Amino acid sequence: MARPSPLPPRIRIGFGLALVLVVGIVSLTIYTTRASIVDRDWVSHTRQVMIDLQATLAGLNQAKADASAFLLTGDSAAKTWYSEDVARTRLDFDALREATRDNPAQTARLDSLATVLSARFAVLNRAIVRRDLKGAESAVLAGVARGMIASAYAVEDSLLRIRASRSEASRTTSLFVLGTLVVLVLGLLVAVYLLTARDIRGRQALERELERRAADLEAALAELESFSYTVSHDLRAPLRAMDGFSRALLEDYAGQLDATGVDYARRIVAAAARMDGLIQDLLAYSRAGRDEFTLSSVSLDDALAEAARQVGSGAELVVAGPLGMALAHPRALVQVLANLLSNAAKFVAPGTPPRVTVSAERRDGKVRLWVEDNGIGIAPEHRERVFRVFERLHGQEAYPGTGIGLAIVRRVMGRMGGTTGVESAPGSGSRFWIECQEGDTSP
Amino acid sequence: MSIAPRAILLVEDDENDVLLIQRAFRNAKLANPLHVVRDGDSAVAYLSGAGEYADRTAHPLPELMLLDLKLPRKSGLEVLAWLRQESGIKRVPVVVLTSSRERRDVDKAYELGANSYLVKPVEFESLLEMVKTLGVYWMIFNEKPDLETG
Repeated sequence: MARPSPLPPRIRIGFGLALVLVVGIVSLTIYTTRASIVDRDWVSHTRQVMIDLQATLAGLNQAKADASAFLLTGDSAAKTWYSEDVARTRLDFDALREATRDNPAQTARLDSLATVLSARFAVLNRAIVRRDLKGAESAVLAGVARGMIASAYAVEDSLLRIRASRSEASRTTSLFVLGTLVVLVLGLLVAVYLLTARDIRGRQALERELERRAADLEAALAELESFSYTVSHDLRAPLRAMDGFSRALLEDYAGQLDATGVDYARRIVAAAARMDGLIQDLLAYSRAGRDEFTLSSVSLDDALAEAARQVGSGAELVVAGPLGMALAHPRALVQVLANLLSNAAKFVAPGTPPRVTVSAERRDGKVRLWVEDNGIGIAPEHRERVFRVFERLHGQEAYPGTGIGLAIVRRVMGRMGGTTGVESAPGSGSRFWIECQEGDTSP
Repeated sequence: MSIAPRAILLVEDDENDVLLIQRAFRNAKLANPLHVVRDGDSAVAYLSGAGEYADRTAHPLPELMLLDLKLPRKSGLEVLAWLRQESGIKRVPVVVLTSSRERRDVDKAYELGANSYLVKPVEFESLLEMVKTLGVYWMIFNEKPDLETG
């Protein structure tokens, strides 16, 4: 599964664009470098053509000079030089034709020059054979050849200028585009940096806010703790005095009290006891909301046995075991089961012997424990009320209690990641259930 | 060793509780003299025999201390911590008798060296039962430490 990027879209787009631009810069640089190498090759090619043209012209002149020297002096060495001049000039000229094959106009011009050159060399050869110094002179042919070479040279020269300036222009354009791209990338990076910085600042502010709230929560919790400390310590002291001194009256001054006085004193004792019960239950409920519940695999059978031992009610307990394992906090689970058991045993019609049936049901990695009684049942509209704090459906005389037991069950189960509920109808008993993750069944 | 019943020191600030505990002692027929101090500083003064408690005949070193935790001036836990550092008297058995059953109080008291922790019941009958058991356990069955050479 792909994890979503922690960066906001704008920053991601910014980085993406910068990446694209960098790739563009690299590609353009490679392209420009290649193009400028091609341009340079063309320029040096043109230069080579110009050199070859000059060499051809020089060869022509040298051949004429060496031929004249032979005719004047009769020196055979000069004749040999002349032959070498002709051969070299032909080689140079062949190279020249090869190099200008790409240019039709130059090729045509050189074709004409070839004819003129051949004619000129033919004139010189004939003069040497006839030993005719005058016959070596051919101003027309020499002039034509020189003119042709000069015009071919002029063409190459203008080509050189065009190619050089084109290479220069393309280099300038590339540099401009590259510069623009670099500036864009830098701008983008700065923008992305600013966006990221703002994003981080936002997150830091959020973090500080979270820390502040955590501190507030901790303070509230500490206050709650000191509140329940006060409740447990200070509120009970006056109760002790009420109970103790009422009893002292009943025991030490029994002779001086009439029946009404004794009744009143007893009522004080009962009221103190009831208030003490309420305070104890409220503290138990508050503790259920604060205590840390570390979950482990707990045997439901063991927990139920311990709960039944703690409750010690006279109810008949039927267990459809084994119940299996639950993921729970052992002590809290026992408390939940004890509350459910005493609740199940308590609400029976007068004269009915209480019977409690416990069974378990496993489904989708969860275990649901049913606690079924033969009690008076609960009307549908009251089913959720029974889980509320100090919520009672019956008078003290019929079923004494503070109404905290089921509220603690729900709270504790909730703290352990579980759920609670009840199915019931008046007169046909109730089926309370708790559900939590199934525990590790391997021993 | 003296033949007279051993003294018990009660450290308790609530006058009602003092009266009720005294009555429970009477009803339980415990003969041990019950000396009462009402705050932490007085408890320290009594135990160290300082000031008005210098006379060890009138104010004998107790063989058991019943200690409330919530006290004026010095808390019960502070008194306990101090006592366990005092050579000579540090072995005095201390039974915490308080109305708090908060986990941190219970744990802290044992950490500081309390020998027992009792929660004052609201019903007098339960208090009476507790005092009777206390007398039997601490004054009869329990082997006393040597308080002279600690």
